[in-house]
Amino acid sequence: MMESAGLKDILFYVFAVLTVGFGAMVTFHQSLVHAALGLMGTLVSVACLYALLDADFVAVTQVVVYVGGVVILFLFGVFLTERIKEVKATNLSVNIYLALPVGLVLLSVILFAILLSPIPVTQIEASSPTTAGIGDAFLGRYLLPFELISGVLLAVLLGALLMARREVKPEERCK
Amino acid sequence: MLQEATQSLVEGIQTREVAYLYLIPFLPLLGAFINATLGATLQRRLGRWAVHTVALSVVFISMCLAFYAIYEVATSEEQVVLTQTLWQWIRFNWEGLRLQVPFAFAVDRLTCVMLFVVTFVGFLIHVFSTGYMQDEKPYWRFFAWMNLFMFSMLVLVLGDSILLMFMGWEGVGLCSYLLISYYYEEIDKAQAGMKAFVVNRIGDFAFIVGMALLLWAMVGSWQDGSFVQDSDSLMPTLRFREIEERILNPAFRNVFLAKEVFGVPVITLVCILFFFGATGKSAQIPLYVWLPDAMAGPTPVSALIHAATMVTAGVYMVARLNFLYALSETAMTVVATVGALTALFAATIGFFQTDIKKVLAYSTVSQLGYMFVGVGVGAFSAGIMHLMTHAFFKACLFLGAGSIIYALHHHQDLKDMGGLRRILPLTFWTFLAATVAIAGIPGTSGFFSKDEILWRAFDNENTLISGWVLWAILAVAAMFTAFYMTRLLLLTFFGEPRADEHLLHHAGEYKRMTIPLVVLGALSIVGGFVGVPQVLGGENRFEHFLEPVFASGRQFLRFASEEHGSGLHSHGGELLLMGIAVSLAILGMFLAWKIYRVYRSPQEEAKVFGQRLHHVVYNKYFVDEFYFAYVVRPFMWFSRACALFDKYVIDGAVNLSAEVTKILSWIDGAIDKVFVDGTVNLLAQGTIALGQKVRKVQTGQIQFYVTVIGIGIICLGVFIYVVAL
Amino acid sequence: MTPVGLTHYLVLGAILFVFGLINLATRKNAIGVLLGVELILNAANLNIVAFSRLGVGGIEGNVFAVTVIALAAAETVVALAIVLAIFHHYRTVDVGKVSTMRD
Repeated sequence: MMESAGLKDILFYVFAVLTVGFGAMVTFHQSLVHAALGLMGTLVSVACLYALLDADFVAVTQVVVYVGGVVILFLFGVFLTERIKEVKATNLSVNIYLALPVGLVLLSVILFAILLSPIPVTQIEASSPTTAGIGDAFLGRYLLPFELISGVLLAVLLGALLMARREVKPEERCK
Repeated sequence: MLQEATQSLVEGIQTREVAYLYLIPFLPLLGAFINATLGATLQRRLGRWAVHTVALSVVFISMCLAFYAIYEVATSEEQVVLTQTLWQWIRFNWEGLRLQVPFAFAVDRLTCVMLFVVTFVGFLIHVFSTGYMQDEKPYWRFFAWMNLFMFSMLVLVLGDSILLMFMGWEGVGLCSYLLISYYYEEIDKAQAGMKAFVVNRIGDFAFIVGMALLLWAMVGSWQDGSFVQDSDSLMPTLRFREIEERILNPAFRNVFLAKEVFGVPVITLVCILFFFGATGKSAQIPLYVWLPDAMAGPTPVSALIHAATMVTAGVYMVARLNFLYALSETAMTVVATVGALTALFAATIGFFQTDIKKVLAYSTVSQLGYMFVGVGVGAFSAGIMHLMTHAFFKACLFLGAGSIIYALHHHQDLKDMGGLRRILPLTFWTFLAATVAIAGIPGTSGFFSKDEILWRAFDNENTLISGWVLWAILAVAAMFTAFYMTRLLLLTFFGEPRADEHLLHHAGEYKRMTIPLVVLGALSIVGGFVGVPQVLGGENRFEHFLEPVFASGRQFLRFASEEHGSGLHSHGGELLLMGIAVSLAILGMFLAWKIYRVYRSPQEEAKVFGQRLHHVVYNKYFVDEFYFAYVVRPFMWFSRACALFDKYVIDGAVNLSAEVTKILSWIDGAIDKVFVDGTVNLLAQGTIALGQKVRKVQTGQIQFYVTVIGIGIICLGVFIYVVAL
Repeated sequence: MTPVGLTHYLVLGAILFVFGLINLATRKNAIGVLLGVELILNAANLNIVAFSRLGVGGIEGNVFAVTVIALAAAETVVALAIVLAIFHHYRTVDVGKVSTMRD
């Protein structure tokens, strides 16, 4: 419907601006905590965008996993490593003046590519809940990736545990 | 009249080939060779007798052969000349001129006389030396050089050509040097030898120039700066007999006499140059200075070489070339004048010398002057006769001195002598005989020969100087001779002995030394009777004997007594002059007896004669000092200058080129270092620098890599768009 | 104004991607760098979902997006564990400092 479409458009722009804004915060804010919170904002905004795209399961998954897990993880990490002041003596990382122009040029190139490519117009179907479909896909056609993901998660779990254990020894060693 | 006589005499001469002549000089050469190489060994293994047996035997055999040759020449019916040609020495071709000089010996009557003197007196002196030198360590060396000397002297007198004579001339000079420097460990004795050789050499140079001039003059003349040959058939020669033949030919002679070089007649120049060589060899003014120094050698050497033989070579040369000298009045004048002045000059120096041998040395110089006057005025046989008699009495005097010196253990100064009459009786008597002979007391050999020269000098009309003057000079010199010889006799043998007691105790005479003394002493007395002049009733056999040799020269000479025989130039005049000369001699002896009856040291002598006079004469008129300052010093300065020139200019040039080469090579090296190496290094450095710059890309910073990946993506996108689409 | 279509979503995705890249390139802190990585992943995810809904159609896009999210989470865990390990060893999380391999 036109109004839905109009509303959708406005919502899109709103969420888009939010996304970009939070994204900018992530990138350009000096304080790491602010950056992490900015990331959280970005992720939420993107989830909303997902919702606009009728990808309900993805949106929810995004919020649950990313926001509820990853960001918390980041924050923990930030706090745990906050003790040492960052040495400002030599900043060997790339100068902002190099990265920004490159980024901008890159952006323009990609935009150029996007805008000039003919996008096939397809009929926008009516939206329907996707959860069932995703479930069917995961356990049907894409079973292998599903299982692999499980395997990966398990490996990651064990690995992280192992690494967390290892921290004891390096502590003694560094002393 | 005279011309015809001489012509027949000369034409009557025949030559005869014999085979033994070469042995006369070559036997002593063999002896010299044996003693030089094996002498030291012989002396060490067998003893001294082995050495002197070799030496004496060769001289003895040589003497016998010489006597035989003399016998052959003297007793043959015709006038004969013995010859022997050994090999063709020089054969030289140049622009049509062919020079041939054979190595040949010839014995004519003049050579006979010389042979007699050289071999006989030489042999006696060799015998004497076996006694005198018996204490010397290098005994063999002495006899080796003595034999070599005999060889050289015999080559000189036997030589058939001027060149061969000159070879002997140089050889005796060499042996003189070797023998004077016998005691070479003492520096002044070695220097004496050097002085003799160098002064001799100056004379030799003149001789060589004269020889070359004569050689060329034989075939051509110098006109307008170039040499013109006389004829195509006439070849150059240096052989005595060939030159003599040509001179006798009037056609050749006239052309020859007309030749001039630099405005001076060649004949005069040649004769004077030869004579200058003779002043060196025969110790006349100005080159006599080596003879007194030569007394540094052993006394037998002084006797043989510097009294009897070598120094007479100059006189022999003039006599041999009589046909050349007779043609040049100027040359004859030079010869006679120099001879006379030398005779007087040397006699004065003999007055105050204190070394026995030095007195005798100056006496030799003086007597040689007499001989040159003899041959200089044309009395060739008189000069040669004095040569012979002088050999007898001078050798006797020197050997007597040797006997004294040996007895007194080599003390030679008169202050150490005196009263030796009783200790060395035979030496005394023979010395007395020789002194009387040299003074010219009638009856002695010296009287006859000296008187002949005096008479001929007065009588001659061949020199530019009046005969009067020559006679006067010689007469005064005769008085001086008598004076200083008597002085020597008195101071040596008479008076109180001044020598050390110890020396006198051991002094004695030795048979080996006294026998030759006696022989020579006897000859000094009787040797003159071969030449008794007509005025005293004799035949003058000596002069007759030598007549054929000198005939070719004599035909050009004139003597007043033979021309007109008037006034003083007569028998009466001759007797008168003879009397005056003898009186002067006796006067001289008397004066010497008066002054030197007691010993007088040089200081006392000076009081008698006057301080200044004594000082000048005692120091030999400072001639040696003069020569040193004006000849030797400039020459040494010159050689030093040459050495400096060599060191700085020549070596400098060489060093300079070396330095330049060094600089050039340095430049070359620098170019190589800077440009060539630089280029190579530049490449290397550039690569390294570039590498180091480029290395910075690999920062190790992942974030940088990410950025670059971004850049890469951009590029890729652009590329795809531009190229692919 | 054109209605919001695929292009818009793609543009947005691109912007997010570039932000993530810049962040990745310029952050000194290691954890900050990981934030960038997350941004990039999200941008990619957005693109996929957009294409899935507005472009190609089908459910595959969603499936892929879920997979990505899961994997991103796992990767973040590992990354943080590593960062902590590095922190304990080097006593710093400065990316520039932790570069022994270069020299």
